[in-house]
This record gives sequence, C-alpha cells and structure tokens, in this order.
Amino acid sequence: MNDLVEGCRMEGEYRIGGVDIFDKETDVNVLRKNVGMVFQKPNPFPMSIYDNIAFAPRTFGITKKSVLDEIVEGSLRRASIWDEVKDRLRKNALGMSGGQQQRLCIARSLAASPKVLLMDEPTSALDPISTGKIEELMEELKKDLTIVIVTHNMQQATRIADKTAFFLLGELVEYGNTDDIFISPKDERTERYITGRFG
Amino acid sequence: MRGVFLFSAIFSILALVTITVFLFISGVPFIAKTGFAKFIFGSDWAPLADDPSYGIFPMIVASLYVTALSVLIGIGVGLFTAIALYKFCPKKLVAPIRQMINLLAGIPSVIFGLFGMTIIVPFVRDYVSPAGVGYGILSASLVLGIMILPTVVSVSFDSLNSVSNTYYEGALALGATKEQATFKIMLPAAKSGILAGVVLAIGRSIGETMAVIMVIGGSPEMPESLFQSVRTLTANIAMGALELNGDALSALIATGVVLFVFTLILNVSFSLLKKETGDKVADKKDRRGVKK
Repeated sequence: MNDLVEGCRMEGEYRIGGVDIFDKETDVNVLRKNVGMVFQKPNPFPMSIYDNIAFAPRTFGITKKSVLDEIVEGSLRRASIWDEVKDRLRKNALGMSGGQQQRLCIARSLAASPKVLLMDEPTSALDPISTGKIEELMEELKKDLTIVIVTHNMQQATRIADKTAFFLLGELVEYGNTDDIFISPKDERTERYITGRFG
Repeated sequence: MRGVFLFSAIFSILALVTITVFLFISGVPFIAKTGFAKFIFGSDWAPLADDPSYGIFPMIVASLYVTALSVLIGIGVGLFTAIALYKFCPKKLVAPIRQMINLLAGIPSVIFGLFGMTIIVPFVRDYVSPAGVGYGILSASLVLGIMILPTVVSVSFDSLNSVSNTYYEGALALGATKEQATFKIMLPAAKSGILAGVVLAIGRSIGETMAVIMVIGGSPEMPESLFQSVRTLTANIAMGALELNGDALSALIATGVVLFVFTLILNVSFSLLKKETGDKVADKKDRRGVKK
C-alpha cells in the first residue's frame, strides 16, 4: 500500500510476525490478506452488501455458495452489523449510513481473516453514536486479533488502546502502555501534546 | 445581436430537420413503391438492369458484420489500452501515450483508407486469406477497428478514472492483486461509461464511408466469407451517388434512410446510457451529502 503514496520515505526494518514485509521473497498479497485495513472514509464497493463481504474470500478462490454464505454471516456477526443488514444482503452497500458502511468495511476486512487490522482514523468521519458502536466493536475484536489504530482523538486512545505510540512528523517519540503514556509521559513533547499545549 | 445568436442556435436545428425531412420525403416513398420487404430483405441490387431491382439486404448484413467485427477489435485492444494506461504503465508515459492516441483520431479517414489499401489489404491477401483475396470484411474491420480506438480508449480511460480510487485501495487492502482489483472492482464500477463509449464507437464504425470503400471491394453480394468483396450501406451510397439518377438515386437515398435509422437508434441509446451514468454519480453525491 505504501507504493500508492507518492514521496513516501521509509527507514529501518518492518517485521510482522517475524517476517520482513519489504523482503523481495514476501508475497505482498498474502501479506495484505493477513493484514486487514480499514480506511478513514468508509469505502464499500458499489455492489451488494453480500458481494462486498464475499469479495476477499472469492479472491482467494472460494466459490462454494454454502462456504461463502457462512463467511458472510460470520463476518457480519463479528462486526455486529448482521442484525441490521441480514434482510437486505442483496441491496447496494452505498445505500447504508456512514456508520453502517464503516462497520461493513470492518466486516469485509474480517472476511479475509486477518491477523492484524490496521485502522486509519476509522471514526473521524462518523457521528458520536456510530463512533461508540465502532469502539465497542474494537473492544470485542481485539481479543482475537491485533488492532493498530491511528487516531487524533486522545480520549479514544485512552478508551480502547492497551499500548500507545506517539508519532510526531514521522518520528516515533514514545511508545508504551497507554496508562503510562497518558499519566506519566517520559518525553516532553508527548506531554505537551496530550495536555493540548502543543506548538 | 440577439438575433444573430438566435439564428446560430436555430441554424443547426434547422439543418438537422432539413436533412431528416429530405431523407424521409425522398426515401420513404421509394421504399413504399418498391415494397418494404423487397427493399430491405431483397438480395439483388441491380439498379441499372433493364428490369431494375433494389434489394439492400446484402449491404445491411455487410454493414452489420463489418461494424460488429471492427467494434470487437477496437474494444478488445482499446479497453486493454485504457486499463494499461490506468494502472499498469509508468505515470510519466500516460500523458504522451494518450496524446498520441488522440492524434490518431485526427487523421482523415481517406488516409486510413490508403493505409488499409497499401498495408492491410496486401497483408491479409498474402498471409491470412485462404483464397488470396485481400479486399473484404476482415480488412475493413481492421481499418475501422484502428479508427475507433481513440474513442474507446479515451471514453474507457475517463470512466475508469472517474471511479473513486478508494475502491481500488480497498480491494488491494483485502489482498486482491492489481489485476483483481481492476477487473473485479474498477471495471464493473466504470461499466456504464465504458458501454456508452462502445455505443459511440459502433456509431462511428457503421457510419464510416471513405476508409471502408477503399478496402472492402464493393460488390453488392451477400457476405459469405471474411475475404470476399462486399459492400456496406455507406459504400453503396457513396459509390452510386455520382453516377446514378432517377429511381436508382432514390434507392440510394432510401439506403440513407435505413442507415439514418440505425445511427438514430445508436445515438438514442448512447444518450440514455450517458444519462444513466450521470444519474448514478449524482446519486452518490446526494448520499455523501446526507452522511456528513
């Protein structure tokens, strides 16, 4: 995905589960399957809810309808949106509300059964109620998989994160348990940022 | 001054109405006189015979064959070109390649005809045709296929580009390859725009005259092979227009009526498709507005 960003600069080593992700040997498509990503703006495909979820498994060659049905239902249930959409799986996903679309996108990522889920400000385009639902969902999901979330909302970070890292202009300033970072930050810049006296 | 503007605006409408009325007034009575079925489905075109007969069915079939085959060629190559430009070729090359393809659209059709006569026809005759005939449907379709390339490429490329890139990123994030993302997500999303381009290309193809005359042979025979001299509707009109008169000339105008009806159908379906695409985009905007 970095390749899509122009002017992107990288330093150091990048390992997920011990695998160097920029090694030539690493299959990026397997990597992308293991690492799901949810974007800032909900981006469901312009097709039915069912086809949205079934996209990833179909990409990996699953064609049997009963298996697909199972994956679709399971993913939607895990993203706690099944009850809201089970009667309109064949309807276009673009007809859903923003919050529903975002949970659909999470369900769609889950259908690829990732081990890590990247979330790039998943709630910044949503209203507080939808945000609450997604945070609840993250609490639930983090039991089974690693969630890496980017957020500008510090309350959100304290609510949902176990560990927090503070980046400033691409530099990792501080990393540690969420409680430690927010209560007793080691770096002065972190402290200024979390107390809102930045800049 | 207002009068000038008004006149200019009316002028083009006037031209359209005049052409349509002229075609139908001079063509339709002739079709009625000859008999609709005999004219459309008659297979014998002999306007200069003692007992003249005016059947244009072979020409209709030839037109349809040439159009279908050329559109197949043009779309096959054009769509893949558009996809290549869209995601699979270095960004620096996109603009120059597009410009060159657009230049192709500016070449006069008679030049395409010359190119067809001197390059494609001999090539088809020597290497492809089993009977050693170069002029015919295949040569005409190849020339036309190249001619409609710019239309197909630019319309397809624009419709692909107008699809939100977030779909593409979303598909990649789910583990799809670039190809899967393009063919399974972007192409379906751009479908109606591409279809509109296809209809436009069909219109160009069926209406093209000069380039076709120069490579298709011209015998008004029923097409039975790709390598046989035949005649399209357009070629029929152009070849006879300067030498025929009287009833035979009316027959040509009537041929024009048939061609006109074909292109009219295509144009109407093009605007319908375009409208549908526009509606969809507007729809999406509405929903975005609601969300925020």
